[in-house]
Amino acid sequence: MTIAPFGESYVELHCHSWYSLLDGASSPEALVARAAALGMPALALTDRDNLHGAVAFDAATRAAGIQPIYGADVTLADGARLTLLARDAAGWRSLCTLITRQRHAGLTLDELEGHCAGLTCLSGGRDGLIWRALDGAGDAAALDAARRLCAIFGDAATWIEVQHHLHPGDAGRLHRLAMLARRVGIGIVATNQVAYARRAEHPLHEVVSAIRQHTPLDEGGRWRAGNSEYYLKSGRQLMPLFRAYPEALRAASQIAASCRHTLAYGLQDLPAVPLPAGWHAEAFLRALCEAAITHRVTADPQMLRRQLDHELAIIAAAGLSNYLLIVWDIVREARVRGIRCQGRGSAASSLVAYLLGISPIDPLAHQLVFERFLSHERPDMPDIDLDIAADRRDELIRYVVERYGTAHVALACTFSTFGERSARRDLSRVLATPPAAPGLQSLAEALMERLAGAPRHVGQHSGGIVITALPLAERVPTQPAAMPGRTVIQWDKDALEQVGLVKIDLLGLRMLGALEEAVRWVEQDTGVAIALDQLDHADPSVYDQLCAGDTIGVFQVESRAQAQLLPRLLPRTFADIIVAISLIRPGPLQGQMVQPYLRRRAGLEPVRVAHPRLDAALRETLGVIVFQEQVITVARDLAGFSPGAGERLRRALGSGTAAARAALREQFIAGATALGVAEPIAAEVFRSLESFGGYAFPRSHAAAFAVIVYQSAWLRRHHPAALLTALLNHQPMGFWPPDVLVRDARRRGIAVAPIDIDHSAGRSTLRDGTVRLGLRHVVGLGHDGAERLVAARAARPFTDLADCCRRSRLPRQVIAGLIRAGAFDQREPRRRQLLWHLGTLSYDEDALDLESPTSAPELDEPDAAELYRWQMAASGVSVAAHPLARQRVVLAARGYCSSATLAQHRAGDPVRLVGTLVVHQAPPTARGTQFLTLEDEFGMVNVIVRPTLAQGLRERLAGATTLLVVGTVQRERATVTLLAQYIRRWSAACPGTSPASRV
Amino acid sequence: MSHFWPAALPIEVDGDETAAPARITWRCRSLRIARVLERWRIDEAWWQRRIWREYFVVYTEDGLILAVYRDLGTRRWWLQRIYD
Repeated sequence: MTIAPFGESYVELHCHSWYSLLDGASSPEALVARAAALGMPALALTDRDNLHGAVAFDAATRAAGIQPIYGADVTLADGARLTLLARDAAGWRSLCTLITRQRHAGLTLDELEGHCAGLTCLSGGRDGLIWRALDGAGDAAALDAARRLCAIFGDAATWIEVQHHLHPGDAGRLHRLAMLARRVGIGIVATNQVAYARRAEHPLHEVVSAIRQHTPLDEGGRWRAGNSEYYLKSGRQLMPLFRAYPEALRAASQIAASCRHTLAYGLQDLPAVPLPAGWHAEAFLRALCEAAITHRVTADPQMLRRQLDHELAIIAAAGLSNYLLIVWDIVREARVRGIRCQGRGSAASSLVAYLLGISPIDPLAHQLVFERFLSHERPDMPDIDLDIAADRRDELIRYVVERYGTAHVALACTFSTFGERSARRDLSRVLATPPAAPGLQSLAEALMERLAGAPRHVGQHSGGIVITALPLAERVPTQPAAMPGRTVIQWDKDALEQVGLVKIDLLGLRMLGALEEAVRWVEQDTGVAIALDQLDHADPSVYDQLCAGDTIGVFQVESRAQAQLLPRLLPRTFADIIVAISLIRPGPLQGQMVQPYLRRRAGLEPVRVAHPRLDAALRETLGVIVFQEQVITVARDLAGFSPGAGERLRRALGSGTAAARAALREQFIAGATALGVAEPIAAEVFRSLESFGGYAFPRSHAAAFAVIVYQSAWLRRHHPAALLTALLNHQPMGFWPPDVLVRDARRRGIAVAPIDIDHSAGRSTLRDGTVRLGLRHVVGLGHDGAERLVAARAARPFTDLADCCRRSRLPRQVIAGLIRAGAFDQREPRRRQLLWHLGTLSYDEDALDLESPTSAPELDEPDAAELYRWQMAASGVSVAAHPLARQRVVLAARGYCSSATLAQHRAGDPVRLVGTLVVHQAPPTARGTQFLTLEDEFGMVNVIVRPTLAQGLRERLAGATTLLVVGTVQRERATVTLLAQYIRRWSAACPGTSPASRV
Repeated sequence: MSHFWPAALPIEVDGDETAAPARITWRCRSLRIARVLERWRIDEAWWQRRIWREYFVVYTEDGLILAVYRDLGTRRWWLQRIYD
């Protein structure tokens, strides 16, 4: 008999973590910690048909100093399970391949044959193949099944799994299984089929199991364990149960000793991009860059050459030439297909990425440092993220799948975890009694707390794809995504990063699709071809518009906060745009960097740095931290941190534990004092780093985004109708709803024609400078409905409503929506009359016969305000005058000001103003202050609501469309805001201050 | 036939080294256990009033078959059933 190096120590070989998704209650970390506390030298993780937890498990076992054993509880097509353990690398490959097969097409016993190299098979627990045969067809069938397993896995690698959970009949079954093993001539091994680390987690396991079964706990069922014996037990605890079969416990440590697979890191093996004959990746990459130099770069040729050689050398040394070529190939294909795309993140600091067309930014012209992307010190494979026109992203993903093969490309998965709301909802279902019931409340609270953060189900990452040369199934299992035709890897982005399988993020960005479409509209309507990517970023009229905060529809800077920032920041250069979009981020906001920056920029206070050593790092941003990488340079210059240590500090500030931050603080202050910095100054700088928190844009990322800001601002300035048309067709996107976009455009003199049953296309269109709203704005019509309508109309114009109904055969409520949205106004402006008429028509998809309509009674048409409400509910967009325009005479007479007259007031003036509520924000960075944006017929007004007034405001304003605000005017340079002292609902019917209408 | 007490009757038990009953005292009568025939645990209804017990079906030296349980929360013993 083999002597196990673990001696007689029992090792648990059948153990579910919470990655068994609702069939396990503990994290891999908790299980490993418990196993280590029980003195187990090893532990197996055998989640149900997946290896989701493998990477976390590996890290936990390393930390605890015990040996990890990788396995899975694999379900066969008939529902029976086998516990499979990987002994070595071949076993891991077999495990990945079998799980992949199982997840994609199901797995029968026959299909295991020939795919079991390196695997040890335990016959499974209560749902195991042998156990089920024994309880079902009897001993003979169980014997056949056991012999079949031996034939597949070999006698030495097949074990009869025995368990004793103190259920009635367990002792007898243990005996029968032992007899069976003896007859077959193989060993028995004890497992406890662990579902949770400690007995105390039994209720949690029952809850998640009930959620999985969609069954209340008190209804019971076969899935109920019946007792709480499925926790991680030591050999000593199991010994009394296996007194008659001590060899079963010994076998567990013997098998554990034979499973020596360690998780492979640095797994990346990208497929080679097909190159012309005779070329290798390095040379081809250089040739591509050199060919692009002439038309992409304006820098000094010597500097350019130096930088290019430097980058290519580092890229080649890190073995990343082929990786860049893969990304280049995706970008090239996007260009060929007319799909707008560009790199984001640190890739934008690379000249090579710029020359390849991956990044839109010349790093030399914008002082972006390549080492943010890649350096000798940090040769890890950097993620390259591409923003892609959202409407065509799938097309590009399909291209990648077709180019490298379905077996080689998959998306990273994501884990949806229990949040407070989902946990509460699930708990109230399975506890059957409402959690508010006496006694259950505290129990439910405790369970909710423990559910928080546990994975509930698997989703697909928004666009992170992994490409490998070897089939993915040999590296890590994949499974079908919920979306048909998509495959996801069983690891999420963090796990992929840890093992070194780099993903390329193909992220959908609606603005890119809108820009592409706007350019097409310009060309179609005016014949002018625009090369957006060739703009020089220096048009003063574009900056004038930005300085005025006139930015509705412009990427990133259209938000309320940005529109207020810009008139104070007064951007005049591309670099200013980079700063503007970086300031309105949680880091600079929480770190209170914004106001000092603006005051210093305006010359209202001197530029100060806490210590002269920080001068170089912070000079460009006037002494405040704006960009993510400045955390690293501050740590380097003030405390002597290496770039690697600085990066760790940045991460810890963002998401690390308090203990990690405290340790880094000590290191920071010690480093600073060693460099002669006084301790209070070092402590002060660290405090500002902590409040900054690390949530900020890297400069390169902001620079890449600034390109889109400029392009959209340029289109808004020079081709506003085309931009509006495109923005309307890419909704939902951006900060403002379509109605605000339309009203803003009309205030700027752009002609917008309403939805019209005879003239509108499905999408909004542009013709002779007029934007025609599309039919698809109408709620419920959708793409198909609009297509049907347009096709029917193309066959011949509609003669009347009946003809439209009969030939489009659209559901009645959709036709009613079209009427309410005003689509028939040009034919019959009396919408209520038309709705009545619709009610008299008898039609549906099956009955073509229409009754002749009787003559309609005379109906009162609703007033303009009511019609406006109909239209907004039916389509969310209107070209009618703003509803407050009709009230203006009354409002003005009562002394209310408007968004137009607000600016005439001095700071501190008390005013009253009525507006429709467009936005209500309560950003966590504002510490209780809330922001409202109100609109009237002239424009928008930003209202600041201090925490005392803001408390409960959202609930009090629920459903309110129009508000009256009493407050004082605040002015800072060109920015005018209203500081609220009193807010209530307002209605035209009762404009007075009746107590009943107060909120 | 058997006598079943839904509410169970309190008994005194001396346990063996595996915590199984070795002698049961019921109504001043002492019964020595010859063999444990079956043993199981339940842990139920924890969301209402937890029922956490270890049951034993035992064969006494007098030839009786009894179902007894130990409440694992209170550690007290109860007689649930006498089989004829």
